[in-house]
Order: sequence, then structure tokens, then C-alpha cells
Amino acid sequence: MSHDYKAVQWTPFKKQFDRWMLAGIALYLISFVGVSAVMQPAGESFTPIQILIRAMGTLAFLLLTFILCIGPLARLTDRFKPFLYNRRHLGVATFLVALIHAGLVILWYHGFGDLNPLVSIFVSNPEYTSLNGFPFEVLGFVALIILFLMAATSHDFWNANLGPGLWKALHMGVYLAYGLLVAHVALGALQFEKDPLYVILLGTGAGTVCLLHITTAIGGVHKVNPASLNGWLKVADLSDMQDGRAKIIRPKQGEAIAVFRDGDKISAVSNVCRHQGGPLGEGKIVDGCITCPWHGFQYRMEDGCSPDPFTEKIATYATHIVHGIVYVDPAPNTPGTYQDPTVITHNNA
Amino acid sequence: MSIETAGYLVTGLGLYAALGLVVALIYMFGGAGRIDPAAKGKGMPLRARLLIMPGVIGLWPVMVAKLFTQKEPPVS
Ligand code: FES
Repeated sequence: MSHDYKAVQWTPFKKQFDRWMLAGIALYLISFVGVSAVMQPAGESFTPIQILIRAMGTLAFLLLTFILCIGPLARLTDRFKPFLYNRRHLGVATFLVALIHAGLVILWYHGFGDLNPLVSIFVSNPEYTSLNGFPFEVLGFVALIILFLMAATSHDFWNANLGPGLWKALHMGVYLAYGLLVAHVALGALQFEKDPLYVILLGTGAGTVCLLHITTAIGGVHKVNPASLNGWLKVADLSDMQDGRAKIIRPKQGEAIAVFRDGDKISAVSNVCRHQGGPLGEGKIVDGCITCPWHGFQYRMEDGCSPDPFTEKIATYATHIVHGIVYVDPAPNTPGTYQDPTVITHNNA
Repeated sequence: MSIETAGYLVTGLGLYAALGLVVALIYMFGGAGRIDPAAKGKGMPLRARLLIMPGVIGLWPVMVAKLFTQKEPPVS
């Protein structure tokens, strides 16, 4: 038996997270509409629907920017881990905000002519060779389709049934969507918007995303553990291995490895949870089992199998201790293979 | 893009979505359990089945193929 599917895997934290997220979205929209209504430049009068279009558009951009920053930020500091674990709801919220933005645009700018409003999106700005006549709405439309596919396949069912490769490839589409979104704003709103705030917003947002990714990519290269003993990778000094917790090792090839200490035993398993790829090494040992920090799937330390009646299996790895230093063999055993834990003794500690 | 081409494109997208809806209904009533034993019967309540419908509409060609080729989820 594997785990049942629920509509949403609620946890108390997740509910609280969603409440904060919705409050933040509401606060942003109210502030944006309020400030825009009060500070309208003389001679211009935007209708409430136009202000709402901008509010939703900027919010979708900011949300997506934030989502893309979460991964690198979580690698730099643990404070962003809660966001990392709850990114899915943020992603769905971003899609819905973008959808409302698109709906209002279609209604307001394309809904009153003779043409089908959807057809009108594709033909209203036909100059692909000019900057200020570029069909920027088409870029936004394609980005919206990508966000839709990602939101629509964010349920566990998809992660399991598309297979990790296809699911991941699909969800990497977020970078394409972000690029399209940046172009959509640069070739659209920025061409007629006089307020420099929009340029600053776009530049800062896109710049931050790029910078954070470059920084963590460079940092990540140094994280590969160079110390090894006959091909075994150094994990840590035994004294640094906290009871019930793990150290994560990233070999040059293959999956990251989580090396756990449970009392006087050391065992290593794949760092990737079978449920949704959660980082097992950031979880802890509960009731003798490694417990995933994302949704609580459990695995036995010594064979990587979920306890009965569940059937998930992850790879195990051989470990050993020499002069108080823990090493792991980077070659994985087949998922579910029993591997003797290394026992800490006076001789090896 | 000419109005005619845009018209074809929008009609094409509409047709794609309509066919997707048919496949999504198949998934709703048994298809999900056919490719994934964990989604059989009570393993996947109605609300969860409704949640996967938009995804099936979006990816229906892949999901039709899976109906014939997949008996359980691929293992990583
Ligand atoms: S990713 Fe969901 S429990 Fe591990």
C-alpha cells in the first residue's frame, strides 16, 4: 500500500501559512488601489478596473519573483525553509492572481469590440519588429499557460504519475514563464508608463532573481565535499553529528545523501523523499524512523523502507567511521536494501 | 498575426480543451485508479479527483497514453 491522495495535505503550519499569505495579498491590493486612487497624476483618470489590472499584474510579478528567490535564499539561510516547504500554495496563488489580471485585461481592453476577445489579444498589437508595438500580451498569455500547467500539476498525484523527470522538467518552466513575464512588462506597461517606479520594480526584481541564483550556484560548487578516503566521502566529525539529525552530502554525481545519527548508530539514505522530493536530511528521527520535514513520510534508517503498511523505498548507502570521522560510500544500494548501520564504539570514535 | 490565423489558433485551443475535458472526465470516473492503484476508490476522494481535472485537460495527450501504458506510477 502506498499513501492515499488527499485534496490538500493540511498541517497546522500550512493553514497558518495560507492565512498569512492571503492577508498579505489582500493588504497589497488594498494599499495599491488606495495609493493609486489618491496619487493619480493630474489630467489622468484611471478607472477602478484599470487600477485593479495594475495591482494584480504587479502582484503576480512580485509573487513570482519571490517564489524564484525562495530556493536560493533557503540555501543561504534556514529562515526561508518554511517558505520552501510551502511554495506550492504560493505558486497556485500566483497563477490565480495572474488569471484575474488576464481576465480583467480581456474584459476591459478586448471585450467591447466585434472580434472574439481572445482573437483580439493576438491581433491588437501586430508589430513584432517594433518595441512599442510588440504584441506583449501574447507573451503574457504564454506565461499564463505555463503557470496554469504548473499550478494544475502541483497535486501529489502528478508528482507520482508524471514521474520525477517529466514533472521536474515541466516545473522548470517557471524560469521560462518568468522570462516571458519580464518581457511582457518591459514591452508592455513600461512602454507607456511614465512612473519610474515600474522600471525600478522590474529591474530590482529580475536582478535579485539572477543575482541570488548566480551566488548560490557559485557557492554550491564549493559545497561538493572534496575530502575522501578511497572514494568514500567525508561527512563530518562524529562530534558534529547531532543525535536524531543528519548531515547532507552532495556527491559530484548522483543524488544528495542524508547521513543520520540515531544514538550510537550512523546510517545513510538518499536525501530525496519518494513523496515529493522533500529533503530528508533536513528532517529528524521520530519513533526510530527518518521523518520527512515536508509532509511526514517515514523511512527506516537501515533499509530505507517505509514502515508497514506503506511501501515507499529509498536508496541506502554504506557508512564507516575512522578516527572519529564519518565517511559514506557514494555508490547507492538498490532502494530498500538493508545496510548495517555503523555503530559508534570506543575504538572508532 | 492575421485575424484568420488568430481565429484558427483560438479555435484550436478551444478544441484541445474540449477534448481534454472528455479525458478529464474519464480520469475522474476510474481512469486515475487505472494508472495508479493508490488513486482507486476511496484512495482518492472526490475533491482530490476534481483537483486533478485541470491538469488532465492541460496534458491530455500524455494522460491518454498513460491510460494504455501505465499500471502504476513510475519509480524514480
Ligand atoms: S516530500 Fe512529502 S513527505 Fe516528503
